[in-house]
Amino acid sequence: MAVPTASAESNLTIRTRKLAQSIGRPLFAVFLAMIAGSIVIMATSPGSLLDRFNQTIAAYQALFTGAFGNAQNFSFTLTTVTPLILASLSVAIAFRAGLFNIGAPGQLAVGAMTAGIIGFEASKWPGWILVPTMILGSMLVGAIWGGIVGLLKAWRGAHEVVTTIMLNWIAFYFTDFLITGPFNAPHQANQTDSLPPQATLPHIADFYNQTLGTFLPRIDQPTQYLVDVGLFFALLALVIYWFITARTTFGYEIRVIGQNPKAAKYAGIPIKWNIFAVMAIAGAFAGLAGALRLMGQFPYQLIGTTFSLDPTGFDAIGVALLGQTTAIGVLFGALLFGGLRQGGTIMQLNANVPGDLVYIIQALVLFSIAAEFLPAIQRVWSKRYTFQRRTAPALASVNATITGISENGTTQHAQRGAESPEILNGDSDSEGASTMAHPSSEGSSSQIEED
Amino acid sequence: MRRIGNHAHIASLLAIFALLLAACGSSTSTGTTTSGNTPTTPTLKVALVTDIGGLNDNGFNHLAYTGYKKAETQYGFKEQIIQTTSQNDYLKNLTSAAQGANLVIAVGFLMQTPLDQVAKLYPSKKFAIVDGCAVPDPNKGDCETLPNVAPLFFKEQEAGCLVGAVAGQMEKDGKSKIAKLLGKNTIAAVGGLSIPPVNRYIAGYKFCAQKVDPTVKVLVNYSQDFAATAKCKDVAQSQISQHQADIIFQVAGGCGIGALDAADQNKVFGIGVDADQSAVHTSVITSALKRVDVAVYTIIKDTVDGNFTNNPPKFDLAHDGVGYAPVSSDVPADAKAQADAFAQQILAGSLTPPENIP
Repeated sequence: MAVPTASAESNLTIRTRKLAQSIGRPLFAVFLAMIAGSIVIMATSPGSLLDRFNQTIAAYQALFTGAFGNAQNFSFTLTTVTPLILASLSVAIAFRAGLFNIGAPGQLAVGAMTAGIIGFEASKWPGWILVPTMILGSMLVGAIWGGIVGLLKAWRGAHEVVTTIMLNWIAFYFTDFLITGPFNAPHQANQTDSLPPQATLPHIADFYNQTLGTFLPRIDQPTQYLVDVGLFFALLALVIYWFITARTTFGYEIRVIGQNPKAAKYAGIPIKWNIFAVMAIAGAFAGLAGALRLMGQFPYQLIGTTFSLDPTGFDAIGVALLGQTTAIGVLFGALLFGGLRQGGTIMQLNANVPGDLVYIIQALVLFSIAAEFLPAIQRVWSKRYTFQRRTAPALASVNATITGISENGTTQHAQRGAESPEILNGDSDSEGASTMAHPSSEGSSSQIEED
Repeated sequence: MRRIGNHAHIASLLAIFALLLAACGSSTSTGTTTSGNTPTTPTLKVALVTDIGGLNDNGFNHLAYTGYKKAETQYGFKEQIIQTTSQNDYLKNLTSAAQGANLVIAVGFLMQTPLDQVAKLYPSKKFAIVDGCAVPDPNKGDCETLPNVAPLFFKEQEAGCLVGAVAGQMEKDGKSKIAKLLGKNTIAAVGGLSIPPVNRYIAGYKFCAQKVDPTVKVLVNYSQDFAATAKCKDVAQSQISQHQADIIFQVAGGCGIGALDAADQNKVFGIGVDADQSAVHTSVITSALKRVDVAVYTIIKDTVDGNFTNNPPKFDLAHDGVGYAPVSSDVPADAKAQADAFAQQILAGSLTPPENIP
């Protein structure tokens, strides 16, 4: 009964609905977290109910203006967003293959360290050789660091969660050793020298003044806008990520491996090499994140114990989840998390609400995504009000089935960019992998051990 | 996950909100006490930018917050605090603070270079930095005198002198009176790096210990680290086992806890630094204090009174800026008396501990 209706519907309507379904869940998660955060503020602030309400409004206002309110604050946010995008891509591409990459912090650390070492050792080189060498070197070492995990996973069956966490600590302590040992600055504790000036990336505002600013209006006081040209590398990486996952055979193969390793094996996809390659690419993204922040942002030097305290690599897991491993999703997720971090500082300063609220909001965003509150509410809602919207749920599931068939049937389908099937399925019960392809990663590990 | 019903989902969602309400509801009664201050100078805005580690680090951040809080209750300004979570954020946090406040207090010498940049960008705002100064070039490390930056330095040598007096008197009393001593008349100091604030502590310690007991031998070694406890433990262990040192003064921050560990395990004595570290081990006989809280309070008070200067006096005994922590029960009365006597002499000006290790 529903099938003719579905075919009668225009292509545009279906797409719009699917888009709404795919962005609905993250938006709802953020909304839910914001409400929960406001309850926390209201409950902990003094005064009458009205005072508390005003305090909540003031806090969220400070949070928002602190993150996006003016050009300077937005530039501060973007400095956080740059490494966050790259680290999130590292986590996201591994998610595609059903691998849970907790190792972004460690890969970021070795990447930054490599860039630093090249910068210090080759400090006489001109910038146009030095900067590319540092960037490529950091990506290569990051790829090796991630590749180790891929090798262990593919050929030895070692679970990537365990190996990435272990390698994180090896990376933290080894970089600490290098920073406090061979590369320690004279008469300084726990830090290296600063990078030579030609090894650093210019701020976007300075860069603009020197290029377009020569004939267009110049930016006043460019030093106050901290964001550096590393942001362009991050945006480029988003495009590359989209291309890899949506437009190449490799992207299709890792997605199949992530969803059903057995099917992938029977289809003749080389599982081991793909797992190795995907972890190496993940490591390269994270390594680049470390290098760009070292080269683009003050203090342009490596400081001991920074990496183990740096939240970027772990926030990246949240961003990848929130962005549902799509390129555009990662971009918005990184803007949200980066904005929360920067806005949290201003909120702490001006609204006198502890910056820790940001952690509560972040945690609740992830919690409500993982717990699938929105689909649950939708199901209850549709059961209660079936007399009003009788056809809608049936339609949704039929659409999902159609999409599922076409996704599995063609090799390089990947319609509408980098959407993965589980997102397209929206709220239907047919989605096997919950939000991420995480459950299937266990399947893939057992599969690999068998052969 | 799949097996959980819809109602369970909704129920869990409601449960979270209920839990949040319940958890927070109990704390509301305490939250109301801070309101109702009558601001005396409503225009003053003071921001405190902490170093990493948070406000409850039992160290500089905590002390700075104590001083800040004291000034806040007295002058009734709005609390503006940024807790730095990453060393990459110093510049951003100081800039944000400078935009939102008239006086920005930075805690910790790692902020010296970012502070220099921000202070130049905001010449109309006032800045103070604990234990540091505005440094334009981190590779050189030289201070720059800016009209709007007040460096808050301490006379660590006076605190070092007082604990040195305790140690020297205990060595003079000898093994016959204090059974735990090893009898070789040797004390030691473990420094983090050979940098001025560390050396000022050690200089006062050595000078005053030898003033009490001229025959006492004072070992000085550096761990080359301020964080890794194992390194300081190694240094202290060799001081104890090879040279029979029996009082170890740690001047190495977090690393130095390892030195106190070594002293405790070898059943000899340790001396803490910066804050009262008697809680670390019972063998810690006293601590050399650096009153960051006094410094922070004083600079806020001076600013309120219109006496802000970019060259404030160093915080010393007379300003209550340094001192020594209450001694443990292992310390004989004459040792404490010796320290108090030296404190009186320093205040009277008849005793001046040196800045450099004699």
